[in-house]
Amino acid sequence: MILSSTLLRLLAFGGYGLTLIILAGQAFRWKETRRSFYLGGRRISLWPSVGSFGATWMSAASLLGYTVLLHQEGYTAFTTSVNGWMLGLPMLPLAISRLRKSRALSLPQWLEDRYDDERLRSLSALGLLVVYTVYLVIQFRAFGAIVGTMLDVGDVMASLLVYLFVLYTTFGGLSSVVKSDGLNLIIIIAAVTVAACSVVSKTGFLPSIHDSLRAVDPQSLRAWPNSGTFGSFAMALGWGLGVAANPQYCIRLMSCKDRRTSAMTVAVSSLAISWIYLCLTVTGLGAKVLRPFVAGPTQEVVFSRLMESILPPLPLAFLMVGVLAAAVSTANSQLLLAASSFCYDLQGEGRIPSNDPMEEDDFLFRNRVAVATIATVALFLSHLPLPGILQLGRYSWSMVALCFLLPLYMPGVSGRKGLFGAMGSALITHNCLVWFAHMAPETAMLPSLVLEGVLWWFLGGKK
Amino acid sequence: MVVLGGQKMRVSLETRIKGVVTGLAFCLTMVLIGMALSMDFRESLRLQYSLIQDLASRGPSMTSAQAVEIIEEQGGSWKVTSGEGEGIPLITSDGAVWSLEPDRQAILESVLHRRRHLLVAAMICLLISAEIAVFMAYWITRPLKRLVWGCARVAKGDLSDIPTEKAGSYELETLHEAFNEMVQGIKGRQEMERRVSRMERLAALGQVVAGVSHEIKNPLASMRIHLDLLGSSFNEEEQESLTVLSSELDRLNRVVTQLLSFARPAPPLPGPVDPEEVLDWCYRMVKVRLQKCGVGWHHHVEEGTVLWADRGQIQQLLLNLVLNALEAIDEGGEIRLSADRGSAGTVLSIEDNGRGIADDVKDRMFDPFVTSKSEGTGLGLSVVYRIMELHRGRIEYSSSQEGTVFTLWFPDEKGDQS
Repeated sequence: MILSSTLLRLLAFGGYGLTLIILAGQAFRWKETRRSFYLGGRRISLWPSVGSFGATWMSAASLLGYTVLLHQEGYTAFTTSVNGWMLGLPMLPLAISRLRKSRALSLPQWLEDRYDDERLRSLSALGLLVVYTVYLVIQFRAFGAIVGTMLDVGDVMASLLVYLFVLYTTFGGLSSVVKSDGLNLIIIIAAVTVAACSVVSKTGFLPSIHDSLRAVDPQSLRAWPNSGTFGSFAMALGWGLGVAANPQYCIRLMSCKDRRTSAMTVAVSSLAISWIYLCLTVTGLGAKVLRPFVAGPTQEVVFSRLMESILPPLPLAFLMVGVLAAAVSTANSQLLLAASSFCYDLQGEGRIPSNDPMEEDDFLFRNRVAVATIATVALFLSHLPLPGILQLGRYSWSMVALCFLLPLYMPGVSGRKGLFGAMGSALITHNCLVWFAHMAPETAMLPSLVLEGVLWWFLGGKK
Repeated sequence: MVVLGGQKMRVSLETRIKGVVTGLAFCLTMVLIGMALSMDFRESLRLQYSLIQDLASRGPSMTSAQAVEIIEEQGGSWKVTSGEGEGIPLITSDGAVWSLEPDRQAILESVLHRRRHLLVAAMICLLISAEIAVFMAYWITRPLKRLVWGCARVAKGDLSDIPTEKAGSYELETLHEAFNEMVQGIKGRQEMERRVSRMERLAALGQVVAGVSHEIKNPLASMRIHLDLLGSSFNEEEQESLTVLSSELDRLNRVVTQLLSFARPAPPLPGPVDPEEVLDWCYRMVKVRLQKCGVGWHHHVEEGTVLWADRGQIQQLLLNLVLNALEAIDEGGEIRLSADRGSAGTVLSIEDNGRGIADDVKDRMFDPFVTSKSEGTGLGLSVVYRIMELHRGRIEYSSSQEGTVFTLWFPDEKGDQS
């Protein structure tokens, strides 16, 4: 019996939901501490860490946005987005030693400990709370659009689903997130591989696709756009620097059981991530050969229409579930970080760990309430007419880079003093350039970053 | 108990609750969804059969072209084969023969498509159930966890209560209250044991101290008399040494007197005492020192307050407490005293904003010879405590780095304590 597309999608979706509930079924540990909640007790071994790192990396926005951009613009999509993201990856090992030396449980706390300034912690935590709430909105919207199209149900119902999935996997802290991330990465890899194989069976591998594209649309094979090269370079740089300074990845490196595992996590994850991008590249370019023009009001709709038109029902159902897995895996990690910024870094009484398990339990209960509250706010915001996925992502990434890039990678620029003033000025400048001068966030980030460095150099007294 | 790989693993209550609730929700969802889909499917199938039968009955009165038109209208819901087959035969007026039967797969797909919202809603309900199960498990096991931690704390000697859950259930709240009552009971018994032990130690100490003090006091009196007699026969230079000797003798005498009053305190002769008078007397006694140290003095007596106590002992008690307060205060501090009427007695309160009592002596500060001062005898507070005991009163204190408050309850004439 050949199952229809709708039935297959429903089955795939139901199967994913059940697997997540059963395999990633969270358990509250008998004796939890904030260390186990935020960092899994710093005892996470290589493969779970790789699963978590890779799944967190692959957001629904990047999986979906990259494929659509590739279809629309060809290889320039790679140079302006993936190229940038991958640029940040080799930088991460440079931060491992610095991050692991500290006993901090969050990146804002690391800033405070390293630069001996409590205000830095509050400022960066506030930034992270805003950025990750915004980013959660992106995930909810992407998931809502995909599930809405996939199952032909309303966006509200679909967003409610991701909200529940994310809550379910976040309440147990990082250990629970890591468990569900492992499952999600396997699903993502399987989904993009099946999709790519399906496309390759129709178009041939990359050389054949290139040949076909040369005939159909040779422009799509150029590496850089004809106009706006600086803008594209700035965008790639912005993404890269944002990745290198992203607390989502830094936290995963801090949570590994030792330094070697952290380094291996980056190395092995980069292979998994490269494979996923390769599969997406094949799928996106192959889709251009098979169906050169697809229009739609949003990227999510274009993606759904494009994949529906080129993939058979089974690979299509697989790919859609892969997008859901990407949305859930990125969102739960962001939600955990937003809750940690709010409860641990921004509230004075939460900063001091207690030896009394009851006090720790009360603190973690407050974290769970914060998780639910932030997710609810993001769910509400996802239904407001906010800018698109890419715009929100660019803004979030550049804010993160301004908060953590220089302190993390160039601690020798200046002394311990002056960073707060420099960071505050850079954030204000960046927001003014974005909101009032209408500059692209990643373009605005570069002068803001230079300003931050210069100000820090002057104020820090290391002239 | 689950046996895994030869090892016995105990399944937690949390896991059981989650498993049972999620499993139950899953089964219920499946049953409901299955019933809904199955009923819908049967209904659709029945409808298609009745349509086919209706068409078959009308077959002889229509042409094959009309029959094809009707079959095409039904879309993909029918399986149509030419000639005779397993389905319902349709014979038209022009002799064409078809076999018609509902296409079960097409009908199932159409039902699933029609009911897709129901399936997504079921998934949402299942997820909500799983989360409710998680929270139910958390809600039930959290107070139990806290109880276990509380027991561990008690086992380590920390007798503090477990805070009651505001949103807890009646049963767990009762369990927490019972635990806290048990802790209070242990605390009370420990306090009583501490008191009995203290009394025994003090009794033994008192006997020794009284004997030794008595033996010292007599030679001291003799030394004082002879010193006074010798006083006039020394020259001016030697007089200075005599003065030192005299003051040291006085100090020794004071210590011995204190020891005696602690070891063999005179039974109080209670009577009505005006707190205003006692506080005034106390102020006069320390006035010079207050001025010298730059410490402020405030006292307040509630109108009509009368203290039923031994005046002399109360004066000694107040003086001891005020002198202690003075030593704890830096320049610019203040001492506040108050006397108020309680429901069946009088409450005296002595408050200072000094450094507070050192943590290492807090638990034993009413024991004799316990002091944090380099030159103290450690008898002042012991005497205060003994006087309160003799008056059948009660003394409590609270101390922090911001200051110390001593609160003394004196029973009224009938001997009842407020």
